[in-house]
Amino acid sequence: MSGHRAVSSSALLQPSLAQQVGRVTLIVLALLFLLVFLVLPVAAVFTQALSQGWKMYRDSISQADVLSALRLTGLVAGIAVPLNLVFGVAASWAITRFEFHGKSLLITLIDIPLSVSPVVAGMMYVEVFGLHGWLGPWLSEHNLHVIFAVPGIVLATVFVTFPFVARELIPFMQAQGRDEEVAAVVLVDPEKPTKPV
Amino acid sequence: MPVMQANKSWRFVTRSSPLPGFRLTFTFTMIYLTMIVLIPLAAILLRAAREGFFGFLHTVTAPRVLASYRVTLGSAGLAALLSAVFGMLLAWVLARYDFPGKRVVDALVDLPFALPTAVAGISLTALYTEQGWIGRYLEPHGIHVAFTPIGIVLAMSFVGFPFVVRSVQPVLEDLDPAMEEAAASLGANVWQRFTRVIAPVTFPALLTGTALAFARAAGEYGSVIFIAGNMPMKTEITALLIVTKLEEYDYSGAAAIAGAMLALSFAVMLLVNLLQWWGQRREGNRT
Repeated sequence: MSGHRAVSSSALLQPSLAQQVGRVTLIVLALLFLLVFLVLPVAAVFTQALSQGWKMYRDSISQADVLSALRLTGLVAGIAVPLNLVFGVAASWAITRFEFHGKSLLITLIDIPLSVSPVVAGMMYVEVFGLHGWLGPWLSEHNLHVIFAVPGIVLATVFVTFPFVARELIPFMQAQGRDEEVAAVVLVDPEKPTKPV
Repeated sequence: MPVMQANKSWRFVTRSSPLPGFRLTFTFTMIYLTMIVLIPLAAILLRAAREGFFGFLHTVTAPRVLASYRVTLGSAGLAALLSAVFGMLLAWVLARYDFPGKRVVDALVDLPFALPTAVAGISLTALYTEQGWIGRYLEPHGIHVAFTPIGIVLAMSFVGFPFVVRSVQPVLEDLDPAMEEAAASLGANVWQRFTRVIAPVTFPALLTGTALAFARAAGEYGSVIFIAGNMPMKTEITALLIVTKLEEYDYSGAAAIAGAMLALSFAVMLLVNLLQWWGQRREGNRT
């Protein structure tokens, strides 16, 4: 998208031969890096997976335990993503449309899961919901299972994907500004204007 | 409390706004944040505190634990450096040049975010062992990657570099070409345009991305354990030590090490914030 900008602009930035060589070198370097770093590993996985033939591959992923694992993964993502989506929209609305004290602290808190080790994250939930955790005795009394059950997996998944929606939305909504929404409130109907504006 | 009274009672709101929904969205954000992040964090810190100050100190400075810090932090540092260099390169190429397949490359950068880390670890290991596509050319020359610290650095860079690309790329895309044109018309050569115009603007974003890559690398578990070999004192990372302690039912020991790792995470987050604040101040000075 912005590439056009670099291509079009004025004669002053017209690339010389040396610059064109440099540019091709950089592109080739970047592509090489991606090839060795990303494409080869992924290709290796697929070749290994298919090394025994397509039928073997189909047989092994259609085993009952594999299928149920795939179903569980889908279910967990299906619960975790909408939860984080709602949170991300709510958080970015509050952060980009209003001024309040402690805003940067809130942004930092939202970023915490990015820098916390997944191992530590998992352990945190064991600490709260595990048998020796805060809620553990109460949960087992009521025969509710969180740890070593689906809710625990959902919680852990929610934690590691927690900041992604908000992090993408906040800069975008900040750049978009709130003028149009304010105008909508003032002009149309003080009760109605909502996010789709 | 009447609902229509809106922001009146919310003293920390510094400027009233005609827009609706602050109470709703802010309350929801805080409840969700508290439940998912803050309470569990408090739980683990309290558990670590149960060791007592000296017990905590004793656990987190045991020789095997100290060795794991060295492996983890050293590898994460190198990985962050690698991520910075190649992430910057990719961000630059993606923001500035047009070439066939650019969209595919742009999408590929997010792959490490999406790929399960265990898959990344297994596939990297498969590539770099003796029979692997790359390992078979390296091993005869005595270069061992799988099951050595080099492998750890590799896995950590894999999960870290997208943070750098995604931090720097938007800044480069937003950079007004008029500034570079002005510099060029004043006689600045390519190198001068890069160091005087582009680098100062992108530097805070580059540092932020690198710090995030470092934090992610230091906490990484899934991809590293497959390629590391996990030899105590040599290639054992701190996250693995926590898991080992948990398997031995030493919960408070595990919590103590987790507390030490959390301290590192918080330090990095603080650094990122300072960097962002610094970047915004620079931005403010320019306009």
